[in-house]
Amino acid sequence: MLGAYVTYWLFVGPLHLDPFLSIPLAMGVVFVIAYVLQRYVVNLVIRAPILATFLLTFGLAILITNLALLFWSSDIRSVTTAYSGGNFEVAGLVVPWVKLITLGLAALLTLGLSLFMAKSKIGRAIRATSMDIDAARLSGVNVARIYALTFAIGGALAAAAGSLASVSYAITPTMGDSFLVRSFVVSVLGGLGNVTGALVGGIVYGIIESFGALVFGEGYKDVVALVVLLLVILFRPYGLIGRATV
Amino acid sequence: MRAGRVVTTAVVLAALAVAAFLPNHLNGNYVHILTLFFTMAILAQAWNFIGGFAGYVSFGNVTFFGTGAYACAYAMNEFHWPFFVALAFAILVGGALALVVGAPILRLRGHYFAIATLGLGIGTQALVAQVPAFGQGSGMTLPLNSDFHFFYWTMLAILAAGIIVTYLVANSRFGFALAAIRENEEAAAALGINTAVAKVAAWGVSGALTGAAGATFAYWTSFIDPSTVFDLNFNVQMIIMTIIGGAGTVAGPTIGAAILYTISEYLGSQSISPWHAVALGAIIVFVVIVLPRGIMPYLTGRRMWNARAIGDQLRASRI
Repeated sequence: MLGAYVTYWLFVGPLHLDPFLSIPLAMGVVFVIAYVLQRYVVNLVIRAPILATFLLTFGLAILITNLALLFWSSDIRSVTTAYSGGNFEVAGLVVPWVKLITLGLAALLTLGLSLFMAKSKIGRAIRATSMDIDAARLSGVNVARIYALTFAIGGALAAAAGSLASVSYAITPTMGDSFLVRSFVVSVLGGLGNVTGALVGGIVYGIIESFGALVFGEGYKDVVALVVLLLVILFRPYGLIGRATV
Repeated sequence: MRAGRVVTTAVVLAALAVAAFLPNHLNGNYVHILTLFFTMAILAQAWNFIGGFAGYVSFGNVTFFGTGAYACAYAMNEFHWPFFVALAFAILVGGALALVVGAPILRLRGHYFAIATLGLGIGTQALVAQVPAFGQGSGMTLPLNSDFHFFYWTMLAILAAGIIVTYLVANSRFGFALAAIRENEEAAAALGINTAVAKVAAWGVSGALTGAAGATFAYWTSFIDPSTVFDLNFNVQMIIMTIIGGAGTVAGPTIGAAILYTISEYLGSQSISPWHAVALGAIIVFVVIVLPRGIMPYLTGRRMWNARAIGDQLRASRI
């Protein structure tokens, strides 16, 4: 939601920045906000039971959403570019440009993130912290910073998604809600802690949702998607392409 | 019984007695507000069984609220059962549903359990919205009953029953088994506790109580639709109320409900702006950081209400 707003303000503001060019800026702004929130607020309860983190982030979401409602009102905004409705045809398939670029960027970000997690020092520290926080700390990892960085990276990616969504969806302070549950489902489909899995999960989820709507009717698409979620969570909790380690 | 417990019991009984006679002396608006408060308190008491005692964070308890509401509506409309028979039916349906879905879902833990229950609530809502017998998305209308004192007393009775059941559970082998599961499930299993049965049973009790609240709510409002009775906000509120009061305590959820409900009613009466929700978000953030165990341990004197104790607790949970 914040990412979409950054894109919106840059688009309507004096800069009149193209939504795709504003993605890095949106990511940067949200990266900083998320880092500060995690470092100075969420880290306060990180060693308490998981419920505390859940509730705290939920409280923060309510807080931020409603501050946005206060300052930016609930007016629906949109980013309409010259190429918003543009598309091309391949073998009878109508492909909107915007969606194609979105897919390409998603793949690019996934590739970048998985390289970062696998190769960089910070990526290794993040994986170490998730495996064993005490061992990571003993090896000299500043876990408080790692938690903050991890949340900030997640926030920046969500902001990129928000910027991309701003081109095809209406921008409102509550726009994030409908994406939240889907992002849970997609992560579980791909396997938690699996970067490429998330991309696969996203594609599989999209296909299931669309075909569910086609076969059972539009109203059933959420039901179908959530039944699939429950089945995956029960029988393949490590994700569709993951290995059985849990 | 320790002195503290006698006092607590006396206070609770006195509060119930006062509450039972109140509606004769209040205007309709207050009766309405209190009835809604009882509803929320019942939901929090019910959530406490699975979330507070067993330590399983359920985001799917609202499923049983909606199911209870629809079970009652269907029984009254189609079978023409009197309300109390429909209420019993809703309790059975809510409890049975919790047992059936609990058996597979309660094998999951942590994130996976939370996400699965979240999916359960949203999936059930989407499903109910498709069933023609339940009026699909446009909901169901129940026989009208405008005797609002009736609903006040019914909700109060269900809440009292919920608190009594919680008290009995908290002091039983079953309650101790749940607490053991919350603290360390492997150790609990090693002690010979059948953890699967205990967890599923806890959710069953939780589902039955939630179903009772849903049924009474449906008859009270005389109109239900999927987006109202499966509203995820009910679920979030029952969790926050339980935490504010004290998860895993007997009367904590009701006290938490009273605190949160009073604050949000007061803020809501001052303005209908988003500030109301901003304040709610801020309260949640504050409570989770400063009072993660709720206020019950302070009320019963088990924890000291001073800056040092709060500082110690902060140091223990931060990183």
